Amino acid sequence: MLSTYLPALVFVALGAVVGGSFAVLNQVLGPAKSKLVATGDPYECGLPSEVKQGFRFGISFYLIAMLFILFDIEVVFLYPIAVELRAFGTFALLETIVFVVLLMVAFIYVWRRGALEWK
Amino acid sequence: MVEILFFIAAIGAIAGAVGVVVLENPFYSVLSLVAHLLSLALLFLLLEAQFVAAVQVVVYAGAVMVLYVFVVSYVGGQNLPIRAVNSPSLRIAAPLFAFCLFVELMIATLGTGLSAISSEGPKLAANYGEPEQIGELLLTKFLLPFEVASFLLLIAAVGAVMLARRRRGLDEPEVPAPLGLLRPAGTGTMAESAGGGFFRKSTASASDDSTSTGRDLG
Repeated sequence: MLSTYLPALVFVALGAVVGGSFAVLNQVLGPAKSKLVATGDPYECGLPSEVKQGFRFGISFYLIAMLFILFDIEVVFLYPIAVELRAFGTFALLETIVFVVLLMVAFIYVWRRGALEWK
Repeated sequence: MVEILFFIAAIGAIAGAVGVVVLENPFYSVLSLVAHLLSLALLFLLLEAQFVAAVQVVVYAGAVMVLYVFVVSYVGGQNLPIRAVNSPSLRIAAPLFAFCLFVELMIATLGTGLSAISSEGPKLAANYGEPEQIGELLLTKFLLPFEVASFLLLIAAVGAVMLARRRRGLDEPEVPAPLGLLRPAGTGTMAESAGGGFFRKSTASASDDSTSTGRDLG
């Protein structure tokens, strides 16, 4: 069972190595950080920046992420049906159409309400 | 090999779950939850539930956690450290409920697990847990839940939009002007090039003033 996952494991290991090496090599090869406090500040002169560290995101981020998850789950449901589409024929197609039409109603509602517009 | 992977995944799941509760910074809690969910995906994989494992990574560890990060950022993030609520009734009720949940889980696990521990485990079909089998079940045994799930997603989409509108995240839908419909976009008037028409300018400046105090930074 595990041998079939060898390509996936190699993929995960490669991703971890490449990502980790980028994070580590930056510190090893990059120029040494200055010890001065002022160089870490956004501006070395003038008024202090008004951007706070913990600023809030707009609600558009939240809404887009929420809608993305909904349609993500739609694809998750459609994938097993699509695999079995040939075996079940017209019946599977009809059920898929009912499934998609209901979600199309949601999509049109979201679209017409302007939730996909970036504010 | 399977045993080693099981212990890696189990320790990762427990450590991730403990980290969610213990860590002070909400962002670190979310990252700890990602580690927990990835460990759960590995456990699903060891249980021959390949499709569920893939969905766990794509939907939970990927999409839902991005939503959590946005929620933490939206609610306030680092400015609001999590503090325990100082209430004497909660101090008694919380351990009590935790203990009840623990006992219930122990009954469930020990009740089914102990009798199966000496057996060889269930005999599984060759395609067990693969998308083909799940698709077949969705079209036969679980046809109604499959269609109801679509309806549930519809309700969730409508609810998300309604909640966002209540928080004044979205404006009322604009009523298009009759002349604006006839004229294609981009072939603008002089007023547009000078910074918006008369009506649009008045509404835009009003909404900008109300939101610009806190929203600019986002």
